[in-house]
Amino acid sequence: MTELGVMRQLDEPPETSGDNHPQTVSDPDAGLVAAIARGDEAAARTLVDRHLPRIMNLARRVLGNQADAEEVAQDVFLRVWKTAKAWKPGKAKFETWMHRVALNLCYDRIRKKREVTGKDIPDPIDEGPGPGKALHQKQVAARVDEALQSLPERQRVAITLCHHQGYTNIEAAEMMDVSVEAVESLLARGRRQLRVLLRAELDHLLGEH
Amino acid sequence: MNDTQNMTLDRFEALLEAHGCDLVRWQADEAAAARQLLAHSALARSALQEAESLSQLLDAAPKGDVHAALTARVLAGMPDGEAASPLNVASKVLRVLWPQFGWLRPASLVAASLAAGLYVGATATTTAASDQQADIFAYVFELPEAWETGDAP
Repeated sequence: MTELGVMRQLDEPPETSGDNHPQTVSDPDAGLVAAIARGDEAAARTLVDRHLPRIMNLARRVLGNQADAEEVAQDVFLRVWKTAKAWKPGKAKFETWMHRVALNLCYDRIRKKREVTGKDIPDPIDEGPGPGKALHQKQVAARVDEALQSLPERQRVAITLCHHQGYTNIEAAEMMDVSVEAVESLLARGRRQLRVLLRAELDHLLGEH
Repeated sequence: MNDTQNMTLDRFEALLEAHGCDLVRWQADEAAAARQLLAHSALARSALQEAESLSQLLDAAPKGDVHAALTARVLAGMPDGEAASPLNVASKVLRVLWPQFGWLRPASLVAASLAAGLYVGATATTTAASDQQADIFAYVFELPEAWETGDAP
């Protein structure tokens, strides 16, 4: 069974009753979610404005392309709308749950793509010619994207959550449903591999210092 | 004295890989020990500089593009207690894309779509132009495929 195959289903709203999870967390989205459950469109727009960019950034960097990221983002929010009424604040932050849903949808897409094409790395996008510095920046972005996409997906997810999204290793562990030690191992292996893949770009940057 | 007060270069490099180059993200005692090491180790400073360069490179990774049409599609998926008709969906998309037309409600759309229907009906022929109009109409109002295939009731 693959690593993904043993992942438990994470997109169910967490249970908050019972003795196993007596602790509660403060959730800045709790009021919005309650309002959305009552059909409040303004609350929905606020939640979308707050979280769509982060979900899009996560999905884009994990999946490597805009179109798939958009579909994942739409799916995440469809689940948000469906889940709002059943959501019980307390154990997990709504944002954490949204990220778990997004990650599971990303994993599903990667798995399906791998089954169809035998690979999960998207073909490089031809950015076309451009002038001077802008071209260089595009080339660097494409190289970094390519390097990220070539990492095993869990390493890529850990790097994206901790480096790009700014979550702590503890928060990333919760989103990925693994131990903090596992996240740190994934981050270390990912960064080590990225140093190898981006050697030329790193040497260029270090030469500028 | 604990282990972190005399941090080795190997330990420092391991922590750099696990926590990144921003010492603020490290545990306080480990960050303090790392600063002590950095004060007298050129190799540690070099390792930190390389980690900072990698961090800078990673910042160049493309972001997701959040555009108005995507936001509209996301918001249009929100159920509002009304029957999920094509008119309601179209109304929501229009209100998200052009919020200044907050007065635009399904009733207005009914009138508009009736007018559009009369126009399409009056000009409908079997030409490619009428097919195109029908496609656009179906797209704008997100009609199910059955509408296009004529299976709709």
